[in-house]
Amino acid sequence: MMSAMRIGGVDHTYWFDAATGIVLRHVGLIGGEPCSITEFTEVRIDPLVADLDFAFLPVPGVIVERQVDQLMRMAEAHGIDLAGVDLADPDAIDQAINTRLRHEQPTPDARLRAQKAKHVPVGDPPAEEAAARAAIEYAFDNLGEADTDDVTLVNVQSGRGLIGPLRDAQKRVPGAADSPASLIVDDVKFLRPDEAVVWYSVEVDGQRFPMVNGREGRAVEVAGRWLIGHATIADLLGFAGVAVPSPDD
Amino acid sequence: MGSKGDLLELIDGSPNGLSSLTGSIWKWTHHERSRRAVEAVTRRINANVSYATSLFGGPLGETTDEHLRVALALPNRWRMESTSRVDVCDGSTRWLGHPGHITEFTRNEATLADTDLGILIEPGKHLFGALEFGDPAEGEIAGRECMTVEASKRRSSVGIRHHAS
Repeated sequence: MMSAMRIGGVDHTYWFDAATGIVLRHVGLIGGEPCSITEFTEVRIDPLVADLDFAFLPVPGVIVERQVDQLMRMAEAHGIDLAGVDLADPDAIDQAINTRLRHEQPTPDARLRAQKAKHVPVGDPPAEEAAARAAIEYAFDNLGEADTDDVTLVNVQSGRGLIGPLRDAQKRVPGAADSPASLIVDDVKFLRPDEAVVWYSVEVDGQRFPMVNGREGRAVEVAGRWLIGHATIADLLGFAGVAVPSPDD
Repeated sequence: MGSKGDLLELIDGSPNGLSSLTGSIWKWTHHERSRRAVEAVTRRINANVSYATSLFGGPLGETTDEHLRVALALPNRWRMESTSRVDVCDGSTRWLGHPGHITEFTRNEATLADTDLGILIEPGKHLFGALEFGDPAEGEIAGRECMTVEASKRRSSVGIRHHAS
Protein backbone atom coordinates (compact mmCIF):
# COMPACT_ATOMS: atom_id res chain seq x y z
CA MET A 1 0.00 0.00 0.00
CA MET A 2 1.48 3.34 -0.99
CA SER A 3 0.32 6.75 0.19
CA ALA A 4 1.48 10.15 -1.04
CA MET A 5 0.92 13.49 0.66
CA ARG A 6 2.14 17.06 0.70
CA ILE A 7 2.63 18.90 3.99
CA GLY A 8 4.15 22.35 4.28
CA GLY A 9 5.73 22.22 0.84
CA VAL A 10 7.28 18.81 1.44
CA ASP A 11 6.00 15.74 -0.44
CA HIS A 12 5.96 12.43 1.40
CA THR A 13 5.49 8.96 -0.02
CA TYR A 14 4.97 6.00 2.29
CA TRP A 15 4.93 2.31 1.50
CA PHE A 16 2.90 0.42 4.12
CA ASP A 17 3.06 -3.31 4.72
CA ALA A 18 -0.43 -4.57 3.87
CA ALA A 19 -0.43 -7.07 6.77
CA THR A 20 0.96 -5.13 9.74
CA GLY A 21 0.61 -1.53 8.54
CA ILE A 22 4.22 -0.68 9.40
CA VAL A 23 6.08 1.68 7.07
CA LEU A 24 8.49 -0.24 4.85
CA ARG A 25 9.77 2.81 3.01
CA HIS A 26 9.40 6.59 3.26
CA VAL A 27 10.64 9.16 0.78
CA GLY A 28 10.54 12.89 1.44
CA LEU A 29 10.89 15.31 -1.48
CA ILE A 30 11.27 19.04 -1.63
CA GLY A 31 11.16 20.82 -4.95
CA GLY A 32 10.72 17.41 -6.60
CA GLU A 33 14.10 16.17 -5.30
CA PRO A 34 14.52 13.61 -2.51
CA CYS A 35 15.69 15.02 0.80
CA SER A 36 15.45 11.83 2.87
CA ILE A 37 14.78 8.13 2.35
CA THR A 38 14.23 5.57 5.09
CA GLU A 39 13.49 1.95 4.30
CA PHE A 40 13.68 -1.53 5.66
CA THR A 41 16.20 -3.39 3.54
CA GLU A 42 15.51 -6.54 5.53
CA VAL A 43 12.79 -7.36 8.04
CA ARG A 44 11.66 -10.37 10.07
CA ILE A 45 8.28 -10.22 11.75
CA ASP A 46 7.88 -11.81 15.18
CA PRO A 47 11.23 -13.59 15.50
CA LEU A 48 12.35 -14.86 18.86
CA VAL A 49 14.26 -12.14 20.72
CA ALA A 50 16.09 -12.42 24.03
CA ASP A 51 16.55 -9.98 26.91
CA LEU A 52 20.21 -9.82 25.98
CA ASP A 53 19.25 -8.24 22.65
CA PHE A 54 18.19 -5.15 24.57
CA ALA A 55 21.00 -4.97 27.09
CA PHE A 56 23.72 -2.39 26.74
CA LEU A 57 27.19 -3.76 27.40
CA PRO A 58 29.78 -1.06 26.70
CA VAL A 59 33.04 -2.16 25.18
CA PRO A 60 36.29 -0.89 26.71
CA GLY A 61 37.03 2.71 25.82
CA VAL A 62 33.43 3.79 25.41
CA ILE A 63 32.40 6.76 27.53
CA VAL A 64 29.02 6.33 29.20
CA GLU A 65 27.58 9.31 31.05
CA ARG A 66 24.35 9.75 32.92
CA GLN A 67 22.18 12.48 31.46
CA VAL A 68 21.88 14.12 34.85
CA ASP A 69 25.67 14.51 35.01
CA GLN A 70 25.71 16.13 31.56
CA LEU A 71 22.99 18.54 32.61
CA MET A 72 24.83 19.52 35.78
CA ARG A 73 27.98 20.14 33.74
CA MET A 74 26.02 22.31 31.33
CA ALA A 75 24.53 24.31 34.19
CA GLU A 76 27.99 24.81 35.66
CA ALA A 77 29.37 25.96 32.30
CA HIS A 78 26.66 28.62 32.09
CA GLY A 79 27.08 29.71 35.67
CA ILE A 80 23.57 28.61 36.59
CA ASP A 81 22.94 28.28 40.31
CA LEU A 82 21.32 24.93 41.06
CA ALA A 83 20.75 25.66 44.75
CA GLY A 84 17.36 24.31 45.72
CA VAL A 85 17.17 22.12 42.60
CA ASP A 86 16.79 18.36 43.06
CA LEU A 87 20.07 17.20 41.55
CA ALA A 88 18.78 13.66 41.18
CA ASP A 89 15.97 14.84 38.94
CA PRO A 90 17.02 15.52 35.31
CA ASP A 91 13.71 17.29 34.65
CA ALA A 92 14.31 19.75 37.48
CA ILE A 93 17.84 20.56 36.26
CA ASP A 94 16.61 20.83 32.68
CA GLN A 95 13.91 23.25 33.75
CA ALA A 96 16.39 25.37 35.71
CA ILE A 97 18.64 25.62 32.65
CA ASN A 98 15.77 26.47 30.31
CA THR A 99 14.38 29.08 32.68
CA ARG A 100 17.75 30.80 32.82
CA LEU A 101 18.82 30.51 29.17
CA ARG A 102 15.56 30.89 27.31
CA HIS A 103 13.43 33.15 29.40
CA GLU A 104 13.72 35.96 26.86
CA GLN A 105 12.79 33.77 23.88
CA PRO A 106 9.06 33.07 23.97
CA THR A 107 7.73 30.06 22.14
CA PRO A 108 5.37 30.67 19.20
CA ASP A 109 2.45 29.70 21.43
CA ALA A 110 3.57 32.08 24.15
CA ARG A 111 4.02 34.84 21.57
CA LEU A 112 0.51 34.32 20.27
CA ARG A 113 -0.90 34.26 23.81
CA ALA A 114 0.86 37.55 24.53
CA GLN A 115 -0.50 39.06 21.32
CA LYS A 116 -4.01 37.93 22.21
CA ALA A 117 -3.72 39.23 25.76
CA LYS A 118 -3.10 42.74 24.44
CA HIS A 119 -6.65 42.86 23.09
CA VAL A 120 -9.26 43.27 25.78
CA PRO A 121 -12.84 42.46 24.76
CA VAL A 122 -15.22 45.37 25.15
CA GLY A 123 -18.31 43.24 24.72
CA ASP A 124 -19.56 39.71 24.54
CA PRO A 125 -18.56 37.44 21.67
CA PRO A 126 -21.21 36.70 19.04
CA ALA A 127 -24.03 34.50 20.23
CA GLU A 128 -23.13 31.95 17.58
CA GLU A 129 -19.37 32.08 18.07
CA ALA A 130 -18.48 28.99 16.10
CA ALA A 131 -20.57 30.14 13.15
CA ALA A 132 -19.00 33.60 13.32
CA ARG A 133 -15.54 32.07 13.34
CA ALA A 134 -16.43 29.95 10.33
CA ALA A 135 -17.76 33.02 8.55
CA ILE A 136 -14.51 34.88 9.21
CA GLU A 137 -12.53 31.95 7.88
CA TYR A 138 -14.77 31.92 4.84
CA ALA A 139 -14.09 35.60 4.23
CA PHE A 140 -10.33 35.08 4.36
CA ASP A 141 -10.69 31.87 2.35
CA ASN A 142 -12.52 33.73 -0.38
CA LEU A 143 -10.76 37.05 -0.38
CA GLY A 144 -10.90 37.19 -4.17
CA GLU A 145 -14.66 36.61 -4.43
CA ALA A 146 -16.06 39.43 -6.59
CA ASP A 147 -19.45 41.00 -7.03
CA THR A 148 -21.06 40.96 -10.46
CA ASP A 149 -19.72 44.49 -11.04
CA ASP A 150 -16.19 42.96 -11.13
CA VAL A 151 -14.80 45.80 -9.06
CA THR A 152 -15.99 44.91 -5.56
CA LEU A 153 -14.53 42.32 -3.21
CA VAL A 154 -17.65 41.05 -1.46
CA ASN A 155 -15.83 39.65 1.58
CA VAL A 156 -13.97 42.87 2.38
CA GLN A 157 -15.33 45.86 4.30
CA SER A 158 -15.85 48.72 1.83
CA GLY A 159 -14.60 46.37 -0.84
CA ARG A 160 -15.67 48.47 -3.83
CA GLY A 161 -12.75 49.17 -6.15
CA LEU A 162 -10.44 46.63 -4.53
CA ILE A 163 -10.42 43.99 -7.27
CA GLY A 164 -7.77 45.86 -9.23
CA PRO A 165 -5.40 46.39 -6.30
CA LEU A 166 -5.75 42.71 -5.31
CA ARG A 167 -4.87 41.55 -8.83
CA ASP A 168 -1.93 43.95 -8.94
CA ALA A 169 -0.68 42.60 -5.63
CA GLN A 170 -1.06 38.98 -6.70
CA LYS A 171 1.14 39.64 -9.74
CA ARG A 172 3.89 40.79 -7.41
CA VAL A 173 3.86 37.75 -5.13
CA PRO A 174 6.84 35.54 -6.05
CA GLY A 175 5.68 32.14 -7.25
CA ALA A 176 1.98 33.04 -7.19
CA ALA A 177 1.70 32.85 -10.99
CA ASP A 178 2.09 29.06 -10.77
CA SER A 179 0.51 28.51 -7.37
CA PRO A 180 -2.03 31.08 -6.15
CA ALA A 181 -1.44 32.61 -2.76
CA SER A 182 -3.57 31.32 0.09
CA LEU A 183 -4.69 33.00 3.27
CA ILE A 184 -4.52 30.92 6.44
CA VAL A 185 -6.48 31.96 9.53
CA ASP A 186 -4.26 31.11 12.50
CA ASP A 187 -6.50 32.38 15.30
CA VAL A 188 -9.45 34.61 16.09
CA LYS A 189 -10.34 36.64 19.20
CA PHE A 190 -13.69 38.38 19.41
CA LEU A 191 -13.64 41.86 20.92
CA ARG A 192 -17.39 42.37 20.75
CA PRO A 193 -20.30 40.81 18.87
CA ASP A 194 -19.37 42.50 15.59
CA GLU A 195 -15.57 42.80 15.68
CA ALA A 196 -12.68 40.35 15.99
CA VAL A 197 -8.91 40.33 15.85
CA VAL A 198 -7.64 37.78 13.33
CA TRP A 199 -4.12 36.38 13.08
CA TYR A 200 -3.47 35.19 9.55
CA SER A 201 -0.69 34.11 7.20
CA VAL A 202 0.00 34.04 3.47
CA GLU A 203 1.16 30.82 1.91
CA VAL A 204 2.32 30.06 -1.62
CA ASP A 205 2.94 26.46 -2.66
CA GLY A 206 3.10 25.30 0.93
CA GLN A 207 5.54 28.00 2.01
CA ARG A 208 4.61 30.75 4.43
CA PHE A 209 5.76 34.27 3.75
CA PRO A 210 7.92 35.33 6.70
CA MET A 211 6.57 38.88 6.52
CA VAL A 212 2.95 37.79 6.64
CA ASN A 213 3.16 34.92 9.10
CA GLY A 214 0.79 35.32 12.03
CA ARG A 215 -0.02 38.88 10.91
CA GLU A 216 -2.62 40.69 12.96
CA GLY A 217 -5.76 41.98 11.26
CA ARG A 218 -9.43 42.64 11.88
CA ALA A 219 -12.77 41.23 10.83
CA VAL A 220 -16.03 43.11 11.24
CA GLU A 221 -19.67 42.17 10.92
CA VAL A 222 -21.56 44.41 8.56
CA ALA A 223 -25.26 43.88 7.86
CA GLY A 224 -25.10 40.33 9.16
CA ARG A 225 -21.97 39.29 7.21
CA TRP A 226 -18.45 38.93 8.54
CA LEU A 227 -15.96 40.80 6.36
CA ILE A 228 -12.20 41.34 6.35
CA GLY A 229 -11.48 44.79 7.74
CA HIS A 230 -10.59 47.39 5.12
CA ALA A 231 -7.44 48.39 7.00
CA THR A 232 -6.36 44.74 7.08
CA ILE A 233 -6.50 44.51 3.29
CA ALA A 234 -4.67 47.82 2.99
CA ASP A 235 -1.97 46.44 5.28
CA LEU A 236 -1.77 43.13 3.39
CA LEU A 237 -1.60 44.59 -0.11
CA GLY A 238 0.89 47.15 1.17
CA PHE A 239 3.43 44.35 1.48
CA ALA A 240 3.27 44.07 -2.32
CA GLY A 241 3.64 47.82 -2.69
CA VAL A 242 0.04 48.27 -3.80
CA ALA A 243 -1.93 51.20 -2.40
CA VAL A 244 -5.59 50.64 -1.55
CA PRO A 245 -8.09 53.45 -2.13
CA SER A 246 -9.68 54.94 0.95
CA PRO A 247 -13.09 53.48 1.84
CA ASP A 248 -14.46 57.01 1.45
CA ASP A 249 -13.30 57.34 -2.18
CA MET B 1 -7.51 -4.09 0.87
CA GLY B 2 -9.02 -1.52 -1.40
CA SER B 3 -11.30 0.83 0.49
CA LYS B 4 -10.39 3.95 2.40
CA GLY B 5 -11.73 2.31 5.56
CA ASP B 6 -9.33 -0.58 5.13
CA LEU B 7 -6.43 1.81 4.77
CA LEU B 8 -7.35 3.84 7.82
CA GLU B 9 -7.84 0.68 9.86
CA LEU B 10 -4.50 -0.69 8.70
CA ILE B 11 -2.52 2.43 9.62
CA ASP B 12 -4.46 3.15 12.80
CA GLY B 13 -3.91 -0.39 14.03
CA SER B 14 -0.26 -0.59 13.08
CA PRO B 15 1.66 -2.58 14.15
CA ASN B 16 -1.25 -4.99 13.79
CA GLY B 17 -0.43 -8.20 15.63
CA LEU B 18 3.30 -7.56 15.68
CA SER B 19 5.15 -8.39 18.89
CA SER B 20 8.78 -8.36 17.79
CA LEU B 21 10.87 -7.49 14.78
CA THR B 22 14.45 -7.67 13.61
CA GLY B 23 15.97 -6.32 10.45
CA SER B 24 18.02 -3.65 8.72
CA ILE B 25 17.16 -0.07 7.88
CA TRP B 26 18.80 2.17 5.31
CA LYS B 27 18.53 5.87 6.03
CA TRP B 28 19.68 8.36 3.40
CA THR B 29 19.75 12.09 4.01
CA HIS B 30 20.52 14.98 1.70
CA HIS B 31 21.51 17.66 4.21
CA GLU B 32 20.87 20.85 2.27
CA ARG B 33 17.47 19.66 1.03
CA SER B 34 16.55 18.38 4.48
CA ARG B 35 17.42 21.76 5.94
CA ARG B 36 15.11 23.38 3.39
CA ALA B 37 12.36 20.86 4.20
CA VAL B 38 12.64 21.55 7.92
CA GLU B 39 12.52 25.29 7.26
CA ALA B 40 9.47 24.93 5.02
CA VAL B 41 7.54 22.96 7.62
CA THR B 42 8.54 25.14 10.56
CA ARG B 43 7.64 28.33 8.67
CA ARG B 44 4.25 26.84 8.02
CA ILE B 45 3.57 26.25 11.70
CA ASN B 46 5.04 29.61 12.68
CA ALA B 47 7.78 27.97 14.69
CA ASN B 48 11.46 28.72 15.10
CA VAL B 49 13.47 25.54 14.66
CA SER B 50 17.07 25.11 13.57
CA TYR B 51 18.36 22.24 11.44
CA ALA B 52 21.47 20.71 12.93
CA THR B 53 23.54 17.76 11.84
CA SER B 54 25.71 15.89 14.28
CA LEU B 55 29.11 14.96 12.98
CA PHE B 56 31.63 12.43 14.24
CA GLY B 57 34.97 11.55 12.78
CA GLY B 58 35.10 13.44 9.51
CA PRO B 59 33.78 16.15 7.25
CA LEU B 60 30.09 16.17 6.46
CA GLY B 61 29.35 15.33 2.85
CA GLU B 62 26.41 16.39 0.74
CA THR B 63 24.54 13.25 1.77
CA THR B 64 24.73 10.66 4.52
CA ASP B 65 24.05 6.93 4.31
CA GLU B 66 23.34 5.07 7.51
CA HIS B 67 22.78 1.32 7.75
CA LEU B 68 21.15 0.30 10.99
CA ARG B 69 20.65 -3.13 12.53
CA VAL B 70 17.44 -3.08 14.49
CA ALA B 71 15.60 -5.28 16.99
CA LEU B 72 12.31 -4.55 18.66
CA ALA B 73 10.17 -6.17 21.34
CA LEU B 74 6.99 -4.25 21.91
CA PRO B 75 6.03 -2.24 23.74
CA ASN B 76 9.21 -0.58 24.95
CA ARG B 77 12.40 -2.47 24.19
CA TRP B 78 14.49 -1.71 21.15
CA ARG B 79 18.01 -1.70 19.74
CA MET B 80 19.24 0.38 16.80
CA GLU B 81 22.91 0.37 15.96
CA SER B 82 25.05 1.69 13.12
CA THR B 83 28.62 2.89 12.78
CA SER B 84 27.49 6.33 13.94
CA ARG B 85 24.66 5.63 16.35
CA VAL B 86 23.64 3.53 19.35
CA ASP B 87 20.06 3.63 20.62
CA VAL B 88 19.17 0.85 23.05
CA CYS B 89 16.29 0.67 25.51
CA ASP B 90 15.75 -2.25 27.89
CA GLY B 91 12.33 -1.02 28.95
CA SER B 92 13.47 1.27 31.74
CA THR B 93 16.87 2.69 30.78
CA ARG B 94 17.85 4.08 27.42
CA TRP B 95 21.38 4.42 26.07
CA LEU B 96 21.70 6.86 23.22
CA GLY B 97 24.64 8.38 21.39
CA HIS B 98 27.70 7.70 19.27
CA PRO B 99 29.33 4.27 19.67
CA GLY B 100 32.22 5.96 21.48
CA HIS B 101 30.19 8.25 23.72
CA ILE B 102 26.86 7.19 25.17
CA THR B 103 24.34 9.02 27.32
CA GLU B 104 22.29 7.01 29.79
CA PHE B 105 18.70 8.18 30.25
CA THR B 106 16.65 6.97 33.17
CA ARG B 107 13.68 9.27 32.71
CA ASN B 108 10.53 7.42 31.83
CA GLU B 109 9.62 9.71 28.99
CA ALA B 110 11.51 7.82 26.26
CA THR B 111 9.07 6.01 24.04
CA LEU B 112 9.41 4.07 20.85
CA ALA B 113 7.53 6.85 19.08
CA ASP B 114 10.53 9.14 19.67
CA THR B 115 12.82 6.94 17.60
CA ASP B 116 13.33 6.53 13.86
CA LEU B 117 12.13 2.96 14.31
CA GLY B 118 8.97 4.03 16.10
CA ILE B 119 7.92 6.30 13.26
CA LEU B 120 8.01 3.28 10.96
CA ILE B 121 6.32 0.90 13.40
CA GLU B 122 3.54 3.19 14.65
CA PRO B 123 2.77 5.51 11.72
CA GLY B 124 -0.77 6.15 12.93
CA LYS B 125 0.52 8.14 15.89
CA HIS B 126 2.27 10.51 13.50
CA LEU B 127 -0.14 10.66 10.59
CA PHE B 128 -3.66 10.49 11.96
CA GLY B 129 -5.18 13.69 13.16
CA ALA B 130 -3.16 15.56 10.57
CA LEU B 131 -4.31 13.95 7.35
CA GLU B 132 -7.31 13.32 5.19
CA PHE B 133 -7.06 10.41 2.78
CA GLY B 134 -8.48 10.08 -0.70
CA ASP B 135 -9.79 6.88 -2.20
CA PRO B 136 -7.26 4.10 -2.82
CA ALA B 137 -6.65 2.99 -6.39
CA GLU B 138 -4.66 0.22 -7.98
CA GLY B 139 -1.25 1.24 -9.24
CA GLU B 140 2.32 0.21 -9.88
CA ILE B 141 5.33 1.70 -8.17
CA ALA B 142 8.89 0.66 -8.87
CA GLY B 143 7.66 -2.31 -10.84
CA ARG B 144 5.46 -3.64 -8.06
CA GLU B 145 1.70 -3.71 -8.03
CA CYS B 146 0.17 -1.87 -5.11
CA MET B 147 -2.74 0.24 -3.96
CA THR B 148 -2.06 3.98 -3.98
CA VAL B 149 -3.83 6.76 -2.12
CA GLU B 150 -3.36 10.51 -1.98
CA ALA B 151 -3.43 12.29 1.37
CA SER B 152 -3.59 15.96 2.28
CA LYS B 153 -3.46 18.07 5.39
CA ARG B 154 -6.68 17.86 7.38
CA ARG B 155 -8.63 21.09 7.63
CA SER B 156 -9.11 22.27 11.19
CA SER B 157 -10.43 25.32 13.04
CA VAL B 158 -6.92 26.70 13.36
CA GLY B 159 -4.47 26.79 10.50
CA ILE B 160 -7.02 26.18 7.80
CA ARG B 161 -5.60 26.47 4.36
CA HIS B 162 -7.56 28.81 2.18
CA HIS B 163 -7.20 29.69 -1.45
CA ALA B 164 -7.55 33.23 -2.68
CA SER B 165 -8.56 33.45 -6.30
